[in-house]
Amino acid sequence: MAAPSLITRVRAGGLFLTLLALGPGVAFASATTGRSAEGYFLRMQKMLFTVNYRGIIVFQHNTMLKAIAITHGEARFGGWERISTLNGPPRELLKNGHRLELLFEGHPIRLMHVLAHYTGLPQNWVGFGGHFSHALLREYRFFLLPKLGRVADHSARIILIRPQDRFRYGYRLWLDARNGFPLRSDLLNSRGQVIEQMMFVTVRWYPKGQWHERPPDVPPVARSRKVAILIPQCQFADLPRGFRIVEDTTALVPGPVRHILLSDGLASVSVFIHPVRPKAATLVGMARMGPVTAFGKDLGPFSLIAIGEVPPRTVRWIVDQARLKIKP
Amino acid sequence: MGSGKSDCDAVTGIELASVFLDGELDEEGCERLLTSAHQSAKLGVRLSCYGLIREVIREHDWRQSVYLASQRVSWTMGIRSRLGTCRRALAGRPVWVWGLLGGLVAGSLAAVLLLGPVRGFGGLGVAPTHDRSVYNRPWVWGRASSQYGQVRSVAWNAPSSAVRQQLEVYWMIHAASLSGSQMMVYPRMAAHNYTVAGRKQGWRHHR
Repeated sequence: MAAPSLITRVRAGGLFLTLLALGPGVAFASATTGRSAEGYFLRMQKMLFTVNYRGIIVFQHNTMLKAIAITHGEARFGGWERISTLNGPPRELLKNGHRLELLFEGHPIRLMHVLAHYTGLPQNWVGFGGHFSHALLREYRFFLLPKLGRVADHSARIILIRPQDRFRYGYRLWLDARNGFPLRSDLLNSRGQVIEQMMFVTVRWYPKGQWHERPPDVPPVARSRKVAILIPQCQFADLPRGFRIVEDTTALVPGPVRHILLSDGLASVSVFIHPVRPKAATLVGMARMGPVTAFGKDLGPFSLIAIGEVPPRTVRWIVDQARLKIKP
Repeated sequence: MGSGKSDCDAVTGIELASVFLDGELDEEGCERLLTSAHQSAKLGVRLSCYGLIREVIREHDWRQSVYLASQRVSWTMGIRSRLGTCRRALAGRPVWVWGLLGGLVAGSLAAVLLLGPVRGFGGLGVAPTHDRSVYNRPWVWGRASSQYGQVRSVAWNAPSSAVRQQLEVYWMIHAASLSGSQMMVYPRMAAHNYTVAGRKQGWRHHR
C-alpha cells in the first residue's frame, strides 16, 4: 500500500495538508486488527459511556497550561464526574447526571445558581453523540495513521478527522490501542494547525467490581414551571452542511432565553435568543475565547448570540440565516 | 550600526528579557517595542525586530491589534525587499523573460478574479446573496463572500464585563447541554471559564 508509507514519512506539521491533498474517501484500516478509523472512533464513543476511570489531563491553549484531575463514574444520563484544577485558581466542577455545580475555592459560583434555573438540560443524544452516525462521513474524513503513538505510557492508535469544508474544525485523536479510550486530543484549524491540545498524563480504568468511588453530592436543579415562553420560534433559511437542530428549549437565565442547539455530529453550536433589554449590554459582532467563537446580532426586539467551538464564519453564517417568527 | 540582529537585540533586549521573566507584555510595552523597531534605520534591522516582536506577541497572545499592525508593516517591507531583489535579478535579461513573467502574473491574476467566487474568495461583479449591511464596513475585507470571508484589520478589544459574563453563562449552558456525550467537554469548561476566576483575559470582542 503506497499511501500509508507516504504518510509515515511526513512530519506531524505537514500531515494534515498532505492528507488534504490525498482527496476524499481515503481511509486506512489497521493491518493488525483490521479495524478502520471509523471503527476506532465508534469504539472510543462506546468506551466513554461504559467505563470508570481516574486520571490527570493537561490542557494547553496558546500560553495557557492547565492540569486537571478527573474522576468519571459510569451511570445513567452520562454518568458522574468530579473535575478539579491542579494549578491556578482552585476550581471544582461536579456533575451527576443532569446536575452540575462549579465550586470556586470551595464556594458555589453564582454562575451555577443561574444555571440551576435552567430547565432544559437535555438527555444524552442517543444515536448522535453516543453512537457513530454515518452522516458524519459526509462532513468529515477519518484516517487511521499507520504509526502507533505513545501517551501516558500507553500504546495509542492515532486517527485524524478531517473536515470536508471550513465550517468546522478537525481533530487528531490518540486512542488506547487496547480499549479505544481517548488519551489525547488535538483540535486543528482548516490549515491543520493545532489550536488546542488535551492529553492524559496518567489514567487508570476500573472494572465495576473494583470501583468504590461515590458520586458527588450535587444539589438538585431548582425546576420552575413558570418559564414564560415569550421568545418566538426560530428557523434557519440555510445552515452549514450537516448541521441540524438537535435541541430547542426555553430557559430562565434568569430572564427567558431560547436555546437552540445545532450540531453536525461532532461540532456543535448553540444559538441563544433573548429580548433586547434597554440598559443591558449584549454582544453585537464577533467575540472569541480560544477556539470558542461567538457572534451576536440584534433582530428587531430580540438579540441572537451563536456560540460554539467552530470557526468564526460558522457562527456568523448561522446567525445570518436565523429567521424569527415574530407575531404582529 | 552593526548587524540587524545585534541592533535589534540592543533595542529590545531589556524589554524581551522582562517579557520572558514576567511572562507578561502590556500594551505600552508592545507600542514601545514597535516604536523602537520603527526608528531603526536599516530595513534588515527593522525586519529582524518585527520578527522578534511578532513571535513575542504571538507567544503571549496579547493585543491582537498590535500583532496585526506589526504583521502588516513587516509584510509590506518584505514585499518591497523582494521586489528589489527581483528587479536586480532581472536587470539585463532578454525581452522574452519579461514577457513570460508578465504572462504568468497576468494569468494568475485572471485566474483569481475568475475562479475566486468558486473557491469562496469573492470575485469581480458577483453580488452578495444576503444583507451585507452589517459587514460592509471599512474594517471588514471581503466582497461577495464577506459573510464567510476573512476579517482583516480587525480592531480587537476586551468586551465589557457584562457581555463577557453573558458569554460565559451561555458557554456553560452550551457545554452543559452536551451532557458529556461530546468528548471531554467538562475539562474544557473548567479550563476555559475565566470570569469566575476574576481574570480579565479571555473573550475578545469584535468592535
